[in-house]
Amino acid sequence: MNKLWNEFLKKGKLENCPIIDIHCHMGFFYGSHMPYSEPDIMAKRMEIAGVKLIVFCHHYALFFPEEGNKFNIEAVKKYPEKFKAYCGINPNYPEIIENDLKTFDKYREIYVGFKLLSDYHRVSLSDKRYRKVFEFADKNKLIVLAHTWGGSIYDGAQEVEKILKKYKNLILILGHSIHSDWEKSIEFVKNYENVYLELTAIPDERGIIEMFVEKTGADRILFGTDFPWFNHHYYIGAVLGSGISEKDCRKIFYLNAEKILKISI
Amino acid sequence: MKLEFFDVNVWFGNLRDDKYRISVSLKQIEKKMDELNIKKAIVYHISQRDVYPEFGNEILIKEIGNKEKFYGIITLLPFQTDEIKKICFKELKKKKIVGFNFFPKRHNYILSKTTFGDFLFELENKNFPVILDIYSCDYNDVYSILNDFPDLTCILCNLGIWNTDRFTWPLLEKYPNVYLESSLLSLQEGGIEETVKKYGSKRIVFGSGFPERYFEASILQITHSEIEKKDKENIAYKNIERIIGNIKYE
Repeated sequence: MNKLWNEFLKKGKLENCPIIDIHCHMGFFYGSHMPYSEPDIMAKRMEIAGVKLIVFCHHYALFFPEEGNKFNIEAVKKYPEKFKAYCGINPNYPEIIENDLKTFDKYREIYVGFKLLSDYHRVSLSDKRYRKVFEFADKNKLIVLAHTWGGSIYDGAQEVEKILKKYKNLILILGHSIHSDWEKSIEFVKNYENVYLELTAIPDERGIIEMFVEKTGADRILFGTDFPWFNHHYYIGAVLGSGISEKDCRKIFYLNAEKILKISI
Repeated sequence: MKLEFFDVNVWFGNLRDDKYRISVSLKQIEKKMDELNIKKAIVYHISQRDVYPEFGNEILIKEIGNKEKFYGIITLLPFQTDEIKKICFKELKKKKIVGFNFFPKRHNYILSKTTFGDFLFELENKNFPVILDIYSCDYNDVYSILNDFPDLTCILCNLGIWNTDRFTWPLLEKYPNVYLESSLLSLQEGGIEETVKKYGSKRIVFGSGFPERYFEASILQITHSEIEKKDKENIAYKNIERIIGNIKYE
Protein backbone atom coordinates (compact mmCIF):
# COMPACT_ATOMS: atom_id res chain seq x y z
CA MET A 1 0.00 0.00 0.00
CA ASN A 2 1.32 3.50 -0.74
CA LYS A 3 2.51 5.87 1.98
CA LEU A 4 -0.65 7.98 1.89
CA TRP A 5 -2.42 5.19 3.77
CA ASN A 6 -0.23 5.51 6.85
CA GLU A 7 -0.50 9.28 6.80
CA PHE A 8 -4.27 9.34 6.43
CA LEU A 9 -4.63 6.69 9.13
CA LYS A 10 -2.49 8.72 11.50
CA LYS A 11 -3.84 12.20 10.82
CA GLY A 12 -7.21 11.77 9.14
CA LYS A 13 -6.42 14.44 6.59
CA LEU A 14 -3.41 15.70 4.70
CA GLU A 15 -2.62 19.26 3.77
CA ASN A 16 -0.51 18.05 0.87
CA CYS A 17 -3.20 15.73 -0.39
CA PRO A 18 -6.49 17.63 -0.43
CA ILE A 19 -9.74 16.06 -1.51
CA ILE A 20 -12.16 17.44 -4.08
CA ASP A 21 -15.51 15.67 -4.07
CA ILE A 22 -17.11 16.16 -7.47
CA HIS A 23 -20.45 14.44 -6.77
CA CYS A 24 -22.37 15.68 -3.76
CA HIS A 25 -25.86 16.63 -2.71
CA MET A 26 -27.38 18.63 0.12
CA GLY A 27 -30.59 18.73 2.11
CA PHE A 28 -33.06 16.13 3.32
CA PHE A 29 -34.30 13.28 1.17
CA TYR A 30 -37.50 11.21 1.29
CA GLY A 31 -35.87 7.80 0.96
CA SER A 32 -33.19 8.06 3.58
CA HIS A 33 -32.33 9.58 6.93
CA MET A 34 -29.46 12.00 6.35
CA PRO A 35 -28.43 13.54 9.63
CA TYR A 36 -25.57 15.65 8.25
CA SER A 37 -27.15 17.13 5.16
CA GLU A 38 -27.49 20.85 5.89
CA PRO A 39 -24.86 23.33 4.70
CA ASP A 40 -23.34 24.23 8.08
CA ILE A 41 -22.77 20.70 9.24
CA MET A 42 -21.58 19.61 5.81
CA ALA A 43 -18.96 22.36 5.80
CA LYS A 44 -17.81 21.21 9.23
CA ARG A 45 -17.73 17.53 8.32
CA MET A 46 -15.62 18.25 5.23
CA GLU A 47 -12.81 19.41 7.49
CA ILE A 48 -12.43 16.05 9.22
CA ALA A 49 -11.14 14.38 6.07
CA GLY A 50 -9.47 17.41 4.50
CA VAL A 51 -12.10 17.86 1.82
CA LYS A 52 -11.38 21.31 0.44
CA LEU A 53 -14.15 21.58 -2.11
CA ILE A 54 -17.39 19.81 -2.93
CA VAL A 55 -19.48 20.24 -6.04
CA PHE A 56 -23.09 19.48 -5.23
CA CYS A 57 -26.70 19.74 -6.29
CA HIS A 58 -29.27 20.22 -3.55
CA HIS A 59 -31.93 17.50 -3.37
CA TYR A 60 -34.64 20.11 -3.53
CA ALA A 61 -33.26 21.42 -6.83
CA LEU A 62 -33.75 17.91 -8.19
CA PHE A 63 -37.00 16.90 -6.51
CA PHE A 64 -38.87 20.12 -5.70
CA PRO A 65 -39.25 22.00 -8.97
CA GLU A 66 -41.30 24.85 -7.49
CA GLU A 67 -38.27 26.23 -5.70
CA GLY A 68 -35.74 25.18 -8.30
CA ASN A 69 -32.15 26.05 -7.69
CA LYS A 70 -32.43 28.69 -4.98
CA PHE A 71 -31.05 26.31 -2.30
CA ASN A 72 -27.93 25.75 -4.40
CA ILE A 73 -27.34 29.45 -4.77
CA GLU A 74 -27.86 30.22 -1.07
CA ALA A 75 -25.45 27.51 0.08
CA VAL A 76 -22.63 28.52 -2.26
CA LYS A 77 -23.05 32.17 -1.31
CA LYS A 78 -22.61 31.16 2.33
CA TYR A 79 -19.54 28.95 1.75
CA PRO A 80 -17.97 30.14 -1.52
CA GLU A 81 -14.58 28.60 -0.74
CA LYS A 82 -15.96 25.16 0.07
CA PHE A 83 -18.99 24.72 -2.16
CA LYS A 84 -19.64 24.92 -5.88
CA ALA A 85 -22.92 23.79 -7.37
CA TYR A 86 -24.41 22.08 -10.35
CA CYS A 87 -27.54 23.73 -11.63
CA GLY A 88 -30.17 21.02 -11.14
CA ILE A 89 -32.14 20.14 -14.25
CA ASN A 90 -35.58 18.55 -14.19
CA PRO A 91 -36.51 18.06 -17.85
CA ASN A 92 -40.19 17.75 -16.99
CA TYR A 93 -40.27 21.50 -16.35
CA PRO A 94 -38.96 23.26 -19.49
CA GLU A 95 -40.00 26.71 -18.28
CA ILE A 96 -37.72 26.38 -15.26
CA ILE A 97 -34.86 25.20 -17.47
CA GLU A 98 -35.47 28.17 -19.75
CA ASN A 99 -35.12 30.51 -16.81
CA ASP A 100 -32.03 28.74 -15.41
CA LEU A 101 -30.26 28.97 -18.75
CA LYS A 102 -31.22 32.60 -19.14
CA THR A 103 -29.81 33.51 -15.72
CA PHE A 104 -26.87 31.06 -15.75
CA ASP A 105 -24.26 33.72 -16.51
CA LYS A 106 -25.37 35.70 -13.49
CA TYR A 107 -24.35 32.73 -11.33
CA ARG A 108 -21.04 31.77 -12.89
CA GLU A 109 -19.42 31.92 -9.43
CA ILE A 110 -22.03 29.48 -8.16
CA TYR A 111 -22.27 26.88 -10.90
CA VAL A 112 -19.74 24.72 -12.70
CA GLY A 113 -22.38 23.17 -14.92
CA PHE A 114 -25.46 20.96 -14.70
CA LYS A 115 -26.65 17.89 -12.82
CA LEU A 116 -28.96 15.44 -14.58
CA LEU A 117 -30.89 12.68 -12.83
CA SER A 118 -32.60 10.94 -15.71
CA ASP A 119 -33.52 7.71 -13.91
CA TYR A 120 -35.53 9.61 -11.33
CA HIS A 121 -37.08 12.12 -13.74
CA ARG A 122 -37.80 9.32 -16.23
CA VAL A 123 -36.58 11.20 -19.24
CA SER A 124 -33.82 9.75 -21.45
CA LEU A 125 -30.59 11.70 -21.83
CA SER A 126 -31.15 11.97 -25.58
CA ASP A 127 -34.71 13.25 -25.17
CA LYS A 128 -35.34 16.62 -26.80
CA ARG A 129 -36.27 18.10 -23.42
CA TYR A 130 -32.57 18.01 -22.50
CA ARG A 131 -31.35 19.41 -25.80
CA LYS A 132 -31.08 23.08 -24.80
CA VAL A 133 -29.08 22.13 -21.71
CA PHE A 134 -26.58 20.05 -23.65
CA GLU A 135 -26.27 22.71 -26.34
CA PHE A 136 -25.65 25.38 -23.73
CA ALA A 137 -23.09 23.24 -21.89
CA ASP A 138 -21.35 22.33 -25.13
CA LYS A 139 -21.20 25.91 -26.32
CA ASN A 140 -19.78 27.10 -23.00
CA LYS A 141 -17.56 24.06 -22.36
CA LEU A 142 -19.30 23.33 -19.07
CA ILE A 143 -19.39 20.23 -16.91
CA VAL A 144 -22.42 17.96 -16.99
CA LEU A 145 -22.69 15.44 -14.17
CA ALA A 146 -25.17 12.79 -15.25
CA HIS A 147 -26.41 10.01 -13.01
CA THR A 148 -25.69 6.91 -15.11
CA TRP A 149 -26.65 3.33 -14.37
CA GLY A 150 -26.10 0.09 -16.25
CA GLY A 151 -29.18 -1.23 -18.01
CA SER A 152 -31.21 1.95 -17.59
CA ILE A 153 -33.30 3.02 -20.55
CA TYR A 154 -32.87 6.62 -19.37
CA ASP A 155 -29.15 6.88 -18.63
CA GLY A 156 -27.55 3.55 -19.46
CA ALA A 157 -24.68 3.08 -21.92
CA GLN A 158 -26.80 3.48 -25.06
CA GLU A 159 -28.09 6.87 -23.97
CA VAL A 160 -24.65 8.00 -22.80
CA GLU A 161 -23.11 7.18 -26.15
CA LYS A 162 -25.71 9.21 -28.03
CA ILE A 163 -24.63 12.25 -26.02
CA LEU A 164 -20.91 11.57 -26.45
CA LYS A 165 -21.29 11.22 -30.20
CA LYS A 166 -23.06 14.54 -30.46
CA TYR A 167 -21.33 16.85 -27.97
CA LYS A 168 -17.56 17.13 -28.03
CA ASN A 169 -16.90 20.33 -26.08
CA LEU A 170 -18.70 19.79 -22.81
CA ILE A 171 -17.21 17.59 -20.08
CA LEU A 172 -19.45 14.65 -19.31
CA ILE A 173 -18.96 13.10 -15.88
CA LEU A 174 -20.51 9.66 -15.69
CA GLY A 175 -21.96 9.70 -12.18
CA HIS A 176 -21.52 6.14 -10.81
CA SER A 177 -19.61 5.27 -14.03
CA ILE A 178 -22.68 3.59 -15.58
CA HIS A 179 -22.87 1.40 -12.50
CA SER A 180 -22.24 -2.30 -13.23
CA ASP A 181 -21.75 -1.74 -16.94
CA TRP A 182 -18.06 -1.21 -16.27
CA GLU A 183 -16.83 -2.45 -19.65
CA LYS A 184 -18.89 0.20 -21.44
CA SER A 185 -17.70 3.01 -19.21
CA ILE A 186 -14.09 1.91 -19.82
CA GLU A 187 -14.76 1.79 -23.56
CA PHE A 188 -16.13 5.34 -23.50
CA VAL A 189 -13.02 6.65 -21.76
CA LYS A 190 -10.92 5.06 -24.47
CA ASN A 191 -13.07 6.39 -27.31
CA TYR A 192 -14.10 9.86 -26.17
CA GLU A 193 -11.82 12.54 -24.77
CA ASN A 194 -14.46 14.53 -22.93
CA VAL A 195 -15.77 11.82 -20.62
CA TYR A 196 -14.79 11.09 -17.00
CA LEU A 197 -15.56 8.20 -14.67
CA GLU A 198 -16.82 9.04 -11.19
CA LEU A 199 -16.63 6.79 -8.13
CA THR A 200 -19.86 7.26 -6.19
CA ALA A 201 -21.38 3.88 -5.22
CA ILE A 202 -18.25 2.05 -6.35
CA PRO A 203 -15.85 1.91 -3.35
CA ASP A 204 -18.26 -0.34 -1.44
CA GLU A 205 -17.44 -3.03 -4.01
CA ARG A 206 -13.84 -4.25 -3.99
CA GLY A 207 -12.13 -4.73 -7.35
CA ILE A 208 -13.68 -2.02 -9.53
CA ILE A 209 -11.28 0.84 -8.78
CA GLU A 210 -8.35 -1.47 -9.47
CA MET A 211 -9.90 -2.52 -12.78
CA PHE A 212 -10.58 1.09 -13.86
CA VAL A 213 -7.02 2.14 -13.17
CA GLU A 214 -5.58 -0.92 -14.86
CA LYS A 215 -7.68 -0.51 -18.01
CA THR A 216 -7.94 3.26 -18.41
CA GLY A 217 -5.20 4.74 -16.23
CA ALA A 218 -6.12 7.23 -13.50
CA ASP A 219 -6.23 10.42 -15.55
CA ARG A 220 -9.98 10.38 -16.04
CA ILE A 221 -11.27 9.07 -12.76
CA LEU A 222 -12.84 11.53 -10.34
CA PHE A 223 -13.46 11.22 -6.61
CA GLY A 224 -17.15 11.45 -5.75
CA THR A 225 -19.18 10.20 -2.80
CA ASP A 226 -22.76 11.46 -2.98
CA PHE A 227 -21.91 13.18 0.33
CA PRO A 228 -23.94 13.62 2.58
CA TRP A 229 -25.17 10.16 1.63
CA PHE A 230 -21.78 8.54 2.08
CA ASN A 231 -18.77 9.16 4.24
CA HIS A 232 -15.53 10.68 3.00
CA HIS A 233 -13.16 8.61 5.12
CA TYR A 234 -14.86 5.42 4.04
CA TYR A 235 -14.31 6.29 0.38
CA ILE A 236 -10.76 7.56 0.92
CA GLY A 237 -9.92 4.33 2.73
CA ALA A 238 -11.31 2.31 -0.14
CA VAL A 239 -9.28 4.17 -2.77
CA LEU A 240 -6.13 3.73 -0.69
CA GLY A 241 -7.02 0.12 0.05
CA SER A 242 -7.29 -0.65 -3.65
CA GLY A 243 -3.49 -0.69 -3.75
CA ILE A 244 -3.09 1.77 -6.63
CA SER A 245 -0.03 4.03 -6.62
CA GLU A 246 0.29 7.29 -4.69
CA LYS A 247 0.41 9.17 -7.97
CA ASP A 248 -2.86 7.64 -9.12
CA CYS A 249 -4.52 8.30 -5.74
CA ARG A 250 -3.57 11.96 -6.01
CA LYS A 251 -5.04 12.18 -9.51
CA ILE A 252 -8.29 10.71 -8.27
CA PHE A 253 -8.44 12.69 -5.01
CA TYR A 254 -7.84 16.15 -6.50
CA LEU A 255 -5.56 16.56 -9.53
CA ASN A 256 -8.10 15.49 -12.16
CA ALA A 257 -10.82 17.62 -10.56
CA GLU A 258 -8.52 20.64 -10.46
CA LYS A 259 -7.97 20.21 -14.15
CA ILE A 260 -11.62 20.15 -15.19
CA LEU A 261 -12.64 22.84 -12.72
CA LYS A 262 -9.66 24.94 -13.83
CA ILE A 263 -8.63 25.66 -10.26
CA SER A 264 -5.72 25.01 -7.94
CA ILE A 265 -6.47 24.35 -4.29
CA MET B 1 -4.55 6.95 17.58
CA LYS B 2 -3.84 3.40 16.56
CA LEU B 3 -6.72 1.09 17.27
CA GLU B 4 -6.71 -2.65 17.27
CA PHE B 5 -9.62 -4.38 15.60
CA PHE B 6 -11.69 -7.55 15.84
CA ASP B 7 -13.56 -8.02 12.57
CA VAL B 8 -16.91 -9.86 12.67
CA ASN B 9 -17.68 -9.85 8.95
CA VAL B 10 -15.17 -11.67 6.77
CA TRP B 11 -15.43 -14.66 4.45
CA PHE B 12 -12.79 -16.67 2.64
CA GLY B 13 -12.54 -19.20 -0.16
CA ASN B 14 -13.10 -18.96 -3.89
CA LEU B 15 -16.24 -17.39 -5.32
CA ARG B 16 -17.80 -19.37 -8.14
CA ASP B 17 -18.17 -16.22 -10.26
CA ASP B 18 -15.14 -14.17 -9.30
CA LYS B 19 -15.12 -11.66 -12.14
CA TYR B 20 -13.05 -9.07 -10.29
CA ARG B 21 -10.66 -11.49 -8.59
CA ILE B 22 -11.62 -10.70 -5.02
CA SER B 23 -11.46 -14.22 -3.56
CA VAL B 24 -8.90 -14.77 -0.82
CA SER B 25 -7.54 -17.61 1.27
CA LEU B 26 -7.40 -17.53 5.04
CA LYS B 27 -3.63 -17.17 4.79
CA GLN B 28 -3.97 -14.06 2.62
CA ILE B 29 -6.48 -12.61 5.05
CA GLU B 30 -4.12 -13.26 7.94
CA LYS B 31 -1.34 -11.36 6.18
CA LYS B 32 -3.60 -8.40 5.51
CA MET B 33 -4.86 -8.44 9.11
CA ASP B 34 -1.29 -8.25 10.40
CA GLU B 35 -0.63 -5.20 8.23
CA LEU B 36 -3.71 -3.41 9.53
CA ASN B 37 -3.64 -4.33 13.22
CA ILE B 38 -6.71 -6.54 13.00
CA LYS B 39 -6.02 -8.97 15.80
CA LYS B 40 -8.92 -11.36 15.34
CA ALA B 41 -11.76 -12.11 12.96
CA ILE B 42 -14.96 -14.11 12.84
CA VAL B 43 -15.10 -15.80 9.44
CA TYR B 44 -17.10 -18.22 7.35
CA HIS B 45 -16.19 -20.11 4.19
CA ILE B 46 -18.00 -18.90 1.10
CA SER B 47 -19.08 -22.45 0.25
CA GLN B 48 -21.31 -22.35 3.35
CA ARG B 49 -23.34 -19.82 1.40
CA ASP B 50 -22.75 -20.75 -2.23
CA VAL B 51 -22.08 -24.51 -2.35
CA TYR B 52 -23.75 -26.37 0.51
CA PRO B 53 -23.90 -25.32 4.17
CA GLU B 54 -22.79 -28.56 5.80
CA PHE B 55 -19.97 -29.02 3.28
CA GLY B 56 -18.78 -25.46 3.95
CA ASN B 57 -19.14 -25.83 7.72
CA GLU B 58 -16.70 -28.73 7.68
CA ILE B 59 -14.16 -26.74 5.64
CA LEU B 60 -14.50 -23.82 8.02
CA ILE B 61 -13.90 -25.91 11.11
CA LYS B 62 -10.88 -27.58 9.56
CA GLU B 63 -9.35 -24.31 8.33
CA ILE B 64 -9.69 -22.25 11.50
CA GLY B 65 -8.74 -25.11 13.82
CA ASN B 66 -5.07 -24.29 14.20
CA LYS B 67 -5.22 -20.58 13.51
CA GLU B 68 -5.33 -18.53 16.65
CA LYS B 69 -6.70 -15.34 15.11
CA PHE B 70 -9.90 -16.85 13.76
CA TYR B 71 -13.31 -17.77 15.10
CA GLY B 72 -16.04 -19.31 12.97
CA ILE B 73 -19.77 -19.15 12.36
CA ILE B 74 -21.77 -22.14 11.23
CA THR B 75 -24.50 -21.91 8.62
CA LEU B 76 -27.82 -23.52 9.45
CA LEU B 77 -30.68 -24.95 7.42
CA PRO B 78 -34.08 -25.98 8.80
CA PHE B 79 -33.45 -29.07 10.97
CA GLN B 80 -36.55 -30.78 9.61
CA THR B 81 -34.70 -31.86 6.44
CA ASP B 82 -31.87 -33.50 8.44
CA GLU B 83 -29.21 -31.79 6.31
CA ILE B 84 -27.40 -30.27 9.29
CA LYS B 85 -25.73 -32.39 11.94
CA LYS B 86 -27.12 -32.21 15.46
CA ILE B 87 -25.61 -29.22 17.26
CA CYS B 88 -23.53 -30.02 20.34
CA PHE B 89 -22.66 -26.78 22.10
CA LYS B 90 -19.75 -28.22 24.08
CA GLU B 91 -18.14 -29.30 20.81
CA LEU B 92 -18.69 -25.86 19.32
CA LYS B 93 -16.52 -24.30 21.99
CA LYS B 94 -13.63 -26.61 21.12
CA LYS B 95 -14.08 -25.76 17.47
CA LYS B 96 -14.08 -21.99 18.15
CA ILE B 97 -17.60 -21.52 16.79
CA VAL B 98 -19.12 -18.31 18.14
CA GLY B 99 -22.30 -17.91 16.13
CA PHE B 100 -24.74 -19.16 13.53
CA ASN B 101 -25.65 -17.51 10.27
CA PHE B 102 -28.61 -17.97 7.97
CA PHE B 103 -29.15 -17.33 4.26
CA PRO B 104 -32.89 -17.85 3.90
CA LYS B 105 -33.26 -16.17 0.51
CA ARG B 106 -30.44 -18.11 -1.11
CA HIS B 107 -31.15 -21.39 0.66
CA ASN B 108 -34.90 -21.24 0.10
CA TYR B 109 -36.64 -21.36 3.45
CA ILE B 110 -38.46 -19.05 5.83
CA LEU B 111 -36.46 -17.77 8.77
CA SER B 112 -39.13 -17.94 11.47
CA LYS B 113 -40.29 -19.38 14.76
CA THR B 114 -42.09 -22.11 12.81
CA THR B 115 -38.82 -23.23 11.22
CA PHE B 116 -36.34 -22.82 14.08
CA GLY B 117 -38.51 -22.26 17.16
CA ASP B 118 -36.96 -24.51 19.84
CA PHE B 119 -33.45 -23.96 18.64
CA LEU B 120 -33.71 -20.18 18.63
CA PHE B 121 -35.14 -20.37 22.13
CA GLU B 122 -32.03 -22.31 23.16
CA LEU B 123 -29.74 -19.77 21.50
CA GLU B 124 -31.58 -16.98 23.29
CA ASN B 125 -30.93 -18.67 26.65
CA LYS B 126 -27.30 -19.40 25.87
CA ASN B 127 -26.57 -15.86 24.61
CA PHE B 128 -25.36 -17.52 21.44
CA PRO B 129 -25.08 -14.96 18.64
CA VAL B 130 -27.12 -15.20 15.49
CA ILE B 131 -25.57 -13.32 12.58
CA LEU B 132 -28.16 -12.06 10.13
CA ASP B 133 -26.91 -10.81 6.80
CA ILE B 134 -29.35 -8.27 5.42
CA TYR B 135 -28.17 -9.09 1.90
CA SER B 136 -29.56 -12.54 2.40
CA CYS B 137 -32.62 -12.05 4.57
CA ASP B 138 -34.48 -8.80 5.00
CA TYR B 139 -35.64 -6.51 7.73
CA ASN B 140 -39.08 -8.18 7.81
CA ASP B 141 -37.34 -11.45 8.82
CA VAL B 142 -35.35 -9.65 11.47
CA TYR B 143 -38.39 -7.92 12.92
CA SER B 144 -40.32 -11.20 12.95
CA ILE B 145 -37.58 -13.23 14.66
CA LEU B 146 -36.96 -10.60 17.30
CA ASN B 147 -40.65 -10.24 17.98
CA ASP B 148 -40.69 -13.94 18.88
CA PHE B 149 -37.28 -14.04 20.60
CA PRO B 150 -36.77 -10.58 22.08
CA ASP B 151 -33.63 -11.50 24.07
CA LEU B 152 -31.85 -13.17 21.18
CA THR B 153 -28.25 -12.00 20.70
CA CYS B 154 -28.40 -10.84 17.15
CA ILE B 155 -25.68 -9.20 15.04
CA LEU B 156 -27.02 -7.54 11.90
CA CYS B 157 -24.45 -7.51 9.08
CA ASN B 158 -24.33 -5.75 5.72
CA LEU B 159 -27.05 -3.36 6.84
CA GLY B 160 -27.74 -1.81 3.45
CA ILE B 161 -26.21 0.86 1.24
CA TRP B 162 -28.66 3.68 1.82
CA ASN B 163 -28.87 4.95 5.37
CA THR B 164 -30.56 2.25 7.45
CA ASP B 165 -31.43 4.16 10.64
CA ARG B 166 -35.15 3.90 9.92
CA PHE B 167 -34.82 0.11 9.95
CA THR B 168 -32.26 -0.40 12.69
CA TRP B 169 -32.98 2.24 15.32
CA PRO B 170 -36.42 0.80 16.26
CA LEU B 171 -34.66 -2.55 16.81
CA LEU B 172 -31.94 -1.00 18.97
CA GLU B 173 -34.61 0.77 20.96
CA LYS B 174 -36.70 -2.31 21.65
CA TYR B 175 -34.28 -5.26 21.79
CA PRO B 176 -31.31 -5.06 24.18
CA ASN B 177 -29.19 -7.73 22.51
CA VAL B 178 -29.26 -6.42 18.96
CA TYR B 179 -25.92 -5.23 17.56
CA LEU B 180 -25.05 -3.52 14.28
CA GLU B 181 -22.01 -4.59 12.30
CA SER B 182 -20.19 -1.42 11.35
CA SER B 183 -19.06 -1.70 7.71
CA LEU B 184 -22.05 -0.21 5.93
CA LEU B 185 -22.85 1.99 8.91
CA SER B 186 -19.41 3.52 8.37
CA LEU B 187 -20.25 4.01 4.72
CA GLN B 188 -23.32 6.05 5.63
CA GLU B 189 -22.38 9.64 6.45
CA GLY B 190 -22.99 10.16 10.17
CA GLY B 191 -24.08 6.55 10.60
CA ILE B 192 -21.62 5.74 13.38
CA GLU B 193 -21.74 9.08 15.15
CA GLU B 194 -25.51 9.42 15.29
CA THR B 195 -26.10 5.81 16.33
CA VAL B 196 -23.57 6.19 19.14
CA LYS B 197 -25.15 9.46 20.20
CA LYS B 198 -28.60 7.86 20.41
CA TYR B 199 -27.92 4.30 21.57
CA GLY B 200 -24.35 4.28 22.86
CA SER B 201 -21.24 2.63 21.46
CA LYS B 202 -21.95 -0.77 23.00
CA ARG B 203 -24.41 -1.63 20.25
CA ILE B 204 -21.99 -1.55 17.31
CA VAL B 205 -19.36 -4.19 16.45
CA PHE B 206 -16.58 -3.66 13.95
CA GLY B 207 -16.84 -5.39 10.58
CA SER B 208 -15.37 -4.84 7.14
CA GLY B 209 -17.25 -7.05 4.71
CA PHE B 210 -13.88 -8.20 3.34
CA PRO B 211 -13.22 -9.43 0.68
CA GLU B 212 -16.27 -7.86 -0.96
CA ARG B 213 -15.32 -4.52 0.58
CA TYR B 214 -12.05 -3.02 1.80
CA PHE B 215 -10.68 -3.41 5.34
CA GLU B 216 -9.12 0.05 4.96
CA ALA B 217 -12.43 1.82 4.34
CA SER B 218 -13.94 0.68 7.63
CA ILE B 219 -10.73 1.15 9.60
CA LEU B 220 -10.15 4.72 8.41
CA GLN B 221 -13.74 5.73 9.12
CA ILE B 222 -13.88 4.31 12.66
CA THR B 223 -10.43 5.66 13.51
CA HIS B 224 -11.45 9.21 12.59
CA SER B 225 -15.13 9.19 13.49
CA GLU B 226 -16.32 12.00 15.73
CA ILE B 227 -16.79 9.89 18.85
CA GLU B 228 -14.79 9.41 22.04
CA LYS B 229 -11.77 7.13 22.19
CA LYS B 230 -13.54 4.72 24.55
CA ASP B 231 -16.42 4.47 22.07
CA LYS B 232 -14.02 3.65 19.25
CA GLU B 233 -12.47 0.91 21.37
CA ASN B 234 -15.88 -0.52 22.21
CA ILE B 235 -16.73 -0.73 18.53
CA ALA B 236 -13.29 -1.85 17.35
CA TYR B 237 -13.00 -4.93 19.59
CA LYS B 238 -14.38 -4.69 23.11
CA ASN B 239 -18.04 -5.29 22.32
CA ILE B 240 -17.49 -8.45 20.34
CA GLU B 241 -15.15 -9.82 22.99
CA ARG B 242 -17.85 -9.22 25.59
CA ILE B 243 -20.49 -10.89 23.41
CA ILE B 244 -18.29 -13.97 22.90
CA GLY B 245 -17.44 -14.03 26.59
CA ASN B 246 -21.13 -14.18 27.47
CA ILE B 247 -21.83 -17.35 25.45
CA LYS B 248 -22.95 -20.25 27.67
CA TYR B 249 -21.64 -23.37 25.95
CA GLU B 250 -22.69 -25.72 28.75
